[in-house]
Amino acid sequence: MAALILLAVVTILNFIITHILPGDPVTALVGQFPAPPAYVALVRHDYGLDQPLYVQLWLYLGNLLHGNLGYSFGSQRPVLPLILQHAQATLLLMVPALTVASIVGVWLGGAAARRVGSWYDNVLSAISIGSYSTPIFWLAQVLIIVFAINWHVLPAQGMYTVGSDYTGFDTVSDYLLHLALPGSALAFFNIALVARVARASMYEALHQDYTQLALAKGLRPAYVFWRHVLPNALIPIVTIIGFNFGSALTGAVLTETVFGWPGIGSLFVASIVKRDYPVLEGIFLLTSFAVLLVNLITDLTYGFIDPRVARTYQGRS
Amino acid sequence: MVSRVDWRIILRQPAGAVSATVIAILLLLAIFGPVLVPGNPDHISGDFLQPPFGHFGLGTDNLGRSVGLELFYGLRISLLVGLLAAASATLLGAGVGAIAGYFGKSVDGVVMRISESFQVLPTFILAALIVALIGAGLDRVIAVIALLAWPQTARLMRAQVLRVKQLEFVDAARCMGVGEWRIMLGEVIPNAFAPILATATLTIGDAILIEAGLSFLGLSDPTVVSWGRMLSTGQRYLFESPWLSIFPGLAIFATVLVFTVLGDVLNKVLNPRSA
Repeated sequence: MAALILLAVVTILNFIITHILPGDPVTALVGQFPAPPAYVALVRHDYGLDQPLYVQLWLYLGNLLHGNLGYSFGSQRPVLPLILQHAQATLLLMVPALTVASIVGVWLGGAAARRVGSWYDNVLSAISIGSYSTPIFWLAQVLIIVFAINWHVLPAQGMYTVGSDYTGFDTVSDYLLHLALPGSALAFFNIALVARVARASMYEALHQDYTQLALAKGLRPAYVFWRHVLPNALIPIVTIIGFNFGSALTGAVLTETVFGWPGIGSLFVASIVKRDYPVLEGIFLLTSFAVLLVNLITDLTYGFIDPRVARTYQGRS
Repeated sequence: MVSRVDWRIILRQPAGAVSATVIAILLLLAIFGPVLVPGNPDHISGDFLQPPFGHFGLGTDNLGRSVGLELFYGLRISLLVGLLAAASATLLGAGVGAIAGYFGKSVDGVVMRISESFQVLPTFILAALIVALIGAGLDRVIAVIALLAWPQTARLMRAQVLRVKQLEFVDAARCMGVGEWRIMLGEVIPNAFAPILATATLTIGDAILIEAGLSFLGLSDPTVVSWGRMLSTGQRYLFESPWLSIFPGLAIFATVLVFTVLGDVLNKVLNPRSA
């Protein structure tokens, strides 16, 4: 239900942006030079822009359902394939970064939960607050200055070495070398976020009666952690990862800009420079759908993590 | 009932005292800046890309503009955008949240679902798209940030109003025949408002970051100095002139940090359950 409302909000927002805000596509298509009014009217008619707004909404929804997001002003190519083509690189940046961030974040947060108030806990909180205040694109630049320019240990730009003819394992290691800096920049923010939530939820689980009982029974602490603490602390952690996917995407867009990573972010910035509105709108629409999908998946994982959630749903239907 | 903030509690904590003092200094610098350090940040000298700590203070950029002066004048813009956007977002969010919480039912459902959507969506991409379409004036950037930053305030205000509207003095007002809107505006909102201050302070930091991000992407008024635009210039000279990136980034970080720390302290004091 929440997903349906989100879908409606996204579609309506995008319709408002494309059809009601200024930035008339006709001006962009016809160009700056004076065109005969008859020609402008013809273009408007061709694009259905002379129709009443509700007819335009209907046409727009029809186009969406056919996967027709319009054509790029710049390259005259259909927008959807253009964006999907760049999505692969973005996923190659985001998926490893978020996976590593989730694991490291849970680990750091769990360690802090066991010694709340210690210097370790305080340092982690300070870093977490600091990460909220750091512009990701600046951290990315600093990483380039330190690791690529001063120390020459990692490449500064792109996703692979230009002009290389690597095959097999060499391709993978080349990609991993290029991933190191942008991946770390993106991971840093998500580690801080996950660690903060993991600390709180594991602290709570650690102080539940069942955990205390398990420890009192003499079970090994490691076993108690995996069997009792982590599963019970996992739902808030999964929630924050899913909830935060939209900002992670934003982070990826900005990181790509700095590193010249050939993904959706680079396409977005190039399209801002060219004022290529259909591509920009398509990117917002598709990233929103991705967020929607991730939130749906997050909701579904609750059932796996906590069987009680699955049972409530079955009880309802 | 904490309806007014007791600043003594906040200033007694080291983090609160330090961040509040720094913010006061930054505000004074921003307001009296042109009097204290007269100069034109757009002044172009013949000395391009001069390194810092020599004759040129914090160095010069690709057009020979003084980085120190640009930073100093950029502070005014960042604070202006941060404060105005956060104030508008707070007003909007508090209004929407209060109406949702007070009148409840379907209004509440719809408003909360919409605010949830805004929190989940990649709002920065949306902000960049809207600014690209309508043009990058300061007023427009402030409006767009406010339009995207209200949901957190709305959700908090709604929760607060739900709690306050059940209290006895609200019933008392109703028994005296006070109208619903007057109860909401005169009784409920003033008593629900304190924790909103914490969120508002955090929103100032968020707004400064969003503004910096937009101008980094080239979506800022080209006639105003802004830290994000300086970072965007720095991006082109990372190899030969890294100070063009280091200093504006530090400025953004430090400014956002003091608002985040103060917001965090306020949150712990005013909103104990969430801490």
